[in-house]
Amino acid sequence: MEGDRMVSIEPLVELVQTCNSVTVCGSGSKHWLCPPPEGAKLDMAPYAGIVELSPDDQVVVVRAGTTMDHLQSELAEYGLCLPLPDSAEFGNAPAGLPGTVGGGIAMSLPHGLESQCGNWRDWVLGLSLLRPDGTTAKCGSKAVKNVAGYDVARLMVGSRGTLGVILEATLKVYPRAAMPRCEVKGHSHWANPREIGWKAIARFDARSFSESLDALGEWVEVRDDATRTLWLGGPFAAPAIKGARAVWSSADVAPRVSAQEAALMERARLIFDPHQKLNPRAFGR
Amino acid sequence: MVDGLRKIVRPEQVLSGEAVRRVYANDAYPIEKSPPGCVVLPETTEEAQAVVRWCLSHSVPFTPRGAGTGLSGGAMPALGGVVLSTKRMTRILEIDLENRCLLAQTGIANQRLSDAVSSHGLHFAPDPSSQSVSTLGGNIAENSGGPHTLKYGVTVQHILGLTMIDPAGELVTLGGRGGNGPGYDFVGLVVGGEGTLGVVTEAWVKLTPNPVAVRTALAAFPDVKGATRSVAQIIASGVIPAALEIMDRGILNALSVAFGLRYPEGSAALLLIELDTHGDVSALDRQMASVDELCHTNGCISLRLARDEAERKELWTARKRGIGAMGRLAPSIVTHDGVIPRSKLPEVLDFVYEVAARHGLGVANLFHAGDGNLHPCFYFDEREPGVVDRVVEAGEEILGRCLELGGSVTGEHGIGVEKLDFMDRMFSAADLRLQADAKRIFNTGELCNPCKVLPNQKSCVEHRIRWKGTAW
Repeated sequence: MEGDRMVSIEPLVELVQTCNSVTVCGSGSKHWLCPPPEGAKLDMAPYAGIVELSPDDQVVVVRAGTTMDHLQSELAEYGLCLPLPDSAEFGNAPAGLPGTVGGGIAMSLPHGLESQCGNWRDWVLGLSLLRPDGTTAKCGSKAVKNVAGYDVARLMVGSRGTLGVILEATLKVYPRAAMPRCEVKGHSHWANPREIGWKAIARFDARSFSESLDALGEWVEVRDDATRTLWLGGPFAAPAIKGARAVWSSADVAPRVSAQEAALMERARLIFDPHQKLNPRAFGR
Repeated sequence: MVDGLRKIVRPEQVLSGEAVRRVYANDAYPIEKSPPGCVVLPETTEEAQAVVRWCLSHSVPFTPRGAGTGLSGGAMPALGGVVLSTKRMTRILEIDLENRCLLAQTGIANQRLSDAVSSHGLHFAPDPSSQSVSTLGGNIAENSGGPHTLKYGVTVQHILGLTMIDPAGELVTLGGRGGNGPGYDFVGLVVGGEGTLGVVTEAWVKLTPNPVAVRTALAAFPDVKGATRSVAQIIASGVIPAALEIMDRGILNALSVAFGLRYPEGSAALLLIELDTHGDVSALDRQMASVDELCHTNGCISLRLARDEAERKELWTARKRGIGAMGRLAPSIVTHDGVIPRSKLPEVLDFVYEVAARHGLGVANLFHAGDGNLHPCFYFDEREPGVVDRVVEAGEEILGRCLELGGSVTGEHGIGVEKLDFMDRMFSAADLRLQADAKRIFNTGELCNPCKVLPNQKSCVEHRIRWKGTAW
């Protein structure tokens, strides 16, 4: 199956080259986890479509602006899918707030099938990137196993567009027949979190999970016991998630990493984006 | 050098002398050898850091080494440099059953990780063939695979955090027992870094619950095509097997010569199928029944299903001892490593036989059929004039074909020194610049396992000249 339509990256390249500050945008499904947009908006939505689907190899190459809905329905025709819970059944929160493929990879949020099926870092086999100087580069391959060189694709997953703009992704896909049941408890459809107030996803280790569950009570909208992840909504008190080892929240906070890792993040950002052009305020900078 | 290092660790932790230099001059990649100045065996992260700092202050290149089973020259030292062996860093430091992980020093053998938690119904999933000796550190450096990666993933998917000494001698801690949250996946970058981004001394590894039921079968086919067609159909049926391994006539022959193992009359290929489940056992049996049917539809002569654990181990013997058995056919063997999309396997296999014939070489094939990861094993006598060149040429042709078909030049063994020349063929200059930028996050120097992975690194020509004689 070849590309849905030919789309040029020229407008994207030009915008990145000419602007000093760029906010990379998909469908806005996760924008509440990101700082307010500033500078030029790099709208990835038009750069969409499946480039190549190999059902026998269970690999798909897809443009970053493609919506998850579109991708999943195309894959379904071949009995394939990306292993994410169905948002109709569980709400879009435990489905990972589906928007575009690029946004899914860039944010890499927890989801309800994670303990059984992994996450974007396990599904991304390769990426094609637009760098802030306007050049493009590829990493990874179409093979499901590949150890040639440094795994830059893995570094890009969850990097929130700060190290490069994802143009295309090569993804491993899975047979629908083999999908396990999603075991999350609860249902949450975070339609417009700005209306509803404080929201967060928090992940705990064994000990702090049960304590936090008690403290958070009614604010827990969805829970996944396998990964000890809670999807929270409402004006819960910040100290209740103090024990979490990882938090994704609408407050613009820096990630809970050591000072050393924070310094490495800054170093990486300056290497990949020396003029601090791409999503400069991401990660609470 | 030896005296200097004997001041920072105990004297018996520094090995030198002609015999030592010969043994440590290469890993399991036999084509290039480069004797070190000496070998140091620290026992703790602190000692390892002191060794690295000593090397940095004396401008001596250093190379980490676990068991030396690597197949791409990753543990080959710079001429006259220091080998930093992890073989005395083999302790398990903490087992956290609640969070299903453990912390271990990286010199520990892969198998010992699983042994330590087997009584709790857990194991460490990555299972390279070398697992009884290959170390956690080596598995991390190469992002090792193994037969069970089809279902359980490669090493990087099981490393939650690590401690390493970076190329500037600083202690760096990445991730932790809880794995990744928002931020950059530095652990994911260091795993597979082939010991060039730092010396990893400790790691938090994820433990996987043992399946509640396993079904293992060995199907014998009169030709390898039947086996590869069966693999394609098994995958297409929507099953995710735990392992799908094929061994061809060459391997069967070696197993028969080496171990006296016998397979059904007329067998030219074996397909090892393993299915497992953490839940529904009756569904598992139904899946195995449909696999049996698929194999027979594709001409399988017989399919033997293991009735118990002992028989299961017996069926795995063909796979686990296959490469070792090759040693009985000829004095020298070289195992290549290429990957293609699974559907291209039959085509590449035909090509491998054709290339072998054309170069006058014997070849046996053992491969992770489910992943499209091929291991053509050439057997020869390296004393025969010109044969080594033909083996290298044959490998190059096969890897070239893998690239043409959208695959990779390495599925498991890594780039090391062996495949430096292939990096330009697989990646453009812009792609390699991207990788060089990633490396620079940790390493801007020239002393940490130099001249590996990325080709044409500026310092390498100087390295070869400077280190041509002695370290100092």
